[in-house]
Amino acid sequence: MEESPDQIRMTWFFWLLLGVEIVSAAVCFWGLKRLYHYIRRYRFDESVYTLPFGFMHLRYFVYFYVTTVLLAGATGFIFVLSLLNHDLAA
Amino acid sequence: MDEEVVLSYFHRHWIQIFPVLVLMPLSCVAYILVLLYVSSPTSHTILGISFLSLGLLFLTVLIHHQFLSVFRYYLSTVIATNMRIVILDKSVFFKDSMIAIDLNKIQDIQRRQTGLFQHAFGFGSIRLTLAGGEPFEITLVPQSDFQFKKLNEIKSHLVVP
Repeated sequence: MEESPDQIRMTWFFWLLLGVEIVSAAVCFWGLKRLYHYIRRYRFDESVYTLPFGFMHLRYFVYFYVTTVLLAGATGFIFVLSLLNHDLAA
Repeated sequence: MDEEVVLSYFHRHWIQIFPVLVLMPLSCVAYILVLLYVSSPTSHTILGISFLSLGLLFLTVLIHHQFLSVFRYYLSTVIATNMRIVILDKSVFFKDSMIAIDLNKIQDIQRRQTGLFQHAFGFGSIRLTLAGGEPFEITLVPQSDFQFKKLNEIKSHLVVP
């Protein structure tokens, strides 16, 4: 069965998004690996006097970073897959 | 010979990452909005899809850049030891620079806190006058009065060989 131009566009968009998400996850993983490698070597005990606002630990941002990258990947796939299914059904 | 001991350290004031902290949730919301638009039942032209793809790519890069800026903030530290002051500027990937100033090269330490903004948020700068060289300024020092006293205290305990 021949694909319609819309389906071709969405397939193209899907593969592009897939590529972006893979690179994004790789950057996140590699970045956090380097970050923790450095922190383990030169560790200082943070306190209310050194943390921004007195309580914002680095690990909070690490959790937020991982969550954002995972959520961005997951929602991206769900949206584009639903769109592909919608186009195929149409 | 005495062993080098870390006596004090601090990151720059949080005002340095404040714009990033504001933009971070906005970028995430923009990312979700682009995806919602893509999934809308309206037919997208090839030009529209290209713009959306570029937009998503841009937002992905922006989100990574924002997080990496925050990590750079945490990694960049000013450390005062019993021998020197070390100013580290390190990022996760592309930057790793270090300036070390011997305590016995420091002739004078000045603290500057000017303007409403600096007083309101409690930060300032510390200027180190060095023997036979240009003065060195450490900007965005949080609790600059405390850090100033601490550095003076460390310098006054310096044992000249």
